[in-house]
Amino acid sequence: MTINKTWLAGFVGIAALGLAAPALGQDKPDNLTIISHRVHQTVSTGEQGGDITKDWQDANGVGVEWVTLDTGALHERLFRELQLPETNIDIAFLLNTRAVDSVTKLLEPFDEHMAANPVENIDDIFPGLRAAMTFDGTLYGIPFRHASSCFHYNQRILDERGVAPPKTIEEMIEAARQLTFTRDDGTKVYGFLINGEGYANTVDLARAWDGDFITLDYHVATTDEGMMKAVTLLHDFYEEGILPSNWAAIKDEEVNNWMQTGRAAMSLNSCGRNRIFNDPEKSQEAGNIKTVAIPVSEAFKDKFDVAPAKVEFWTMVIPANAKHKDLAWDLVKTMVSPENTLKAALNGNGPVRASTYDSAEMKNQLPYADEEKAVLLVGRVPLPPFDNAAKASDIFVEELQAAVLGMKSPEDAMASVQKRVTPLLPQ
Amino acid sequence: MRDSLPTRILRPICFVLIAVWSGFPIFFLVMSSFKPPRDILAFPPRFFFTPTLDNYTALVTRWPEFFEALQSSLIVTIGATVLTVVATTLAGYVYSRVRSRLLAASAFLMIVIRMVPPIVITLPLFPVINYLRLSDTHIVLIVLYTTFFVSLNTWIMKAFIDQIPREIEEAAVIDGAGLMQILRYIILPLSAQGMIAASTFVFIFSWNEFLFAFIFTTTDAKTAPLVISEMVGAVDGVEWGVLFAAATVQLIPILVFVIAVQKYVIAGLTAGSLKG
Repeated sequence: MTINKTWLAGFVGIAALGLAAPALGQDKPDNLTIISHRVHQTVSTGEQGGDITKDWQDANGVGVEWVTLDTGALHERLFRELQLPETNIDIAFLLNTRAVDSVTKLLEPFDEHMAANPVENIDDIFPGLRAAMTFDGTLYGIPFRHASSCFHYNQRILDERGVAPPKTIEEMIEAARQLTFTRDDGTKVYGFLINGEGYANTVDLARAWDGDFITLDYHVATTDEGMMKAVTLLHDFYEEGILPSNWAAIKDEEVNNWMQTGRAAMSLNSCGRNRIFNDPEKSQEAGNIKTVAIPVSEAFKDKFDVAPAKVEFWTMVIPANAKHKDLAWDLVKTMVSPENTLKAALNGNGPVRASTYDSAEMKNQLPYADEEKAVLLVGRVPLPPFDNAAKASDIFVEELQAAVLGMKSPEDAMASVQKRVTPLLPQ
Repeated sequence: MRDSLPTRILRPICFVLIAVWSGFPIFFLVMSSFKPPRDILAFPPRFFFTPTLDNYTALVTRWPEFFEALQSSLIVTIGATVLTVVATTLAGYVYSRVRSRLLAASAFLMIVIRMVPPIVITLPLFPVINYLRLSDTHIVLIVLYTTFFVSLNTWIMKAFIDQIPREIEEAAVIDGAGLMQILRYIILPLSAQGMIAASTFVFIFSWNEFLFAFIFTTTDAKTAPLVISEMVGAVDGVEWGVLFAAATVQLIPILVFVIAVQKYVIAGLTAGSLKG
């Protein structure tokens, strides 16, 4: 056999490919690593809608590795990774309240990626969510999942007491009084229950009068009419026994449990809780809990159809020190496409696109889809992001509990919040 | 001397109260893991129920990573326990048999290090471990857990070895035994009880430890407490049945181990309390 030029060229070509392979491999990793809460993995890979990353993985020959942590742990880990010279994390999920200046400057700005490889119909993603991740005109995160607050009530208890579903906050207050009673077996039913250890549901209540804790322009609004009405109402409820005596120690898990066991008749909580309130495997009241938008006060009916309740959301961000930013962006873009947003919603995600709520599948799956969309159209974050947000929240909860339990007057407590929190805000 | 009547009446009552106080949470945990999810926190509480393995099935199908994490926990726990016992037995022997100012100073230093809150050390260590590419490995947890238990266990082993008469070693030396033979045939067998006692502390600590594992692991070396913390932190409602099933599974090895070695623990803790 003689070696002619064609053979020689072939050998040289194969040798060159062999030498170049490691270098090519560096550009395309085996896996992209996503650090998230477990819920993000569940809704991205669930059975009903399917794995929203699968087509992308097949097309690119790159796998996706999920690293899941609890909310606090996730952020703590992410913030540490962001400060390293280089991180193995390619995409991270960030809660909107954690997107403060000191963090965003360690994230990859998305404007250039958007120009080169844009997200499909980004205007369909609720503008308020995008705005909350835009700093100095630059986009740093793509919203993926939201948790908006709704009003949940137990239709069976309402029927039992002859109470119609409230349409305004004033009707809800009156209903709470009528729905507080003691059953023949000695079990007390509380007309209204919210988390006593957090600030968010109190902000929800204040939003019925368009109230706030801290406004988006960083003004402490605790002494304004909306928040004062909410705190005074909670104090009155506590005095009247509409809230339980251990209210200050009630957490979200207890609220869930009391709604599931019929010990609480009405609550403000994330709309998605409807699912667990009505899960026959977990709830004694399955099928009885209805979920609607939080009713607005009579006085604000001209301004809002529903109360502009709390909307919190998770965004996908890319660390500035990540190794494969273009590839990571391409996956982010894929995960929030209209098609994948619907798939994730069918897996239980709170969708961030308005169009998703209009789909037939969504309406079939979520009986409260229209109500949730109504909240998203007017809702806003419970607290704008700033470095001292956690400290400010602690102060609010401390003073709120003092006011509700009668250790301070609502006026004094909320004035104290204003005095203590104002110096913590960005100047 | 016979106990007084009130003492004889109060003693069993106190015993029962303490036993219920300590045992009820474990009983509740294990029982709940066999309850149907809607009965776990039902109101009024349901004490009679048909046991089910649904929670364990859900744990296997929905949280497969829990069992991988259990394997990691086991590797790290056994590794840390073995390394600690070996290191502290040898150190305890030296502290027991050798007198020098340098050793006294090092003993003091060990106590001081033990008093430093772990978080003070762990956070600055993160970039170093990352640079060394040891992040998310079992070895980093084994070394850290060992480091934090070397001081306490060295003192336990020293107290134990102090009780072994030097005359036995002197007789062995006369018979021609070297240091290694003395260690192998005299010190190790006679201090086995102390080694078991010392191992108990590091075993329990390593099995349940959260902070170091949280900071230094991601996926490959993730331990069971981290997965359980994820179950507790579910944003769409805690699955109590699955959580209790996982906690029960995680409890079993430690319970078996502690029951098996409990008498040595008492012996280890009281070593050196009586002289003469």
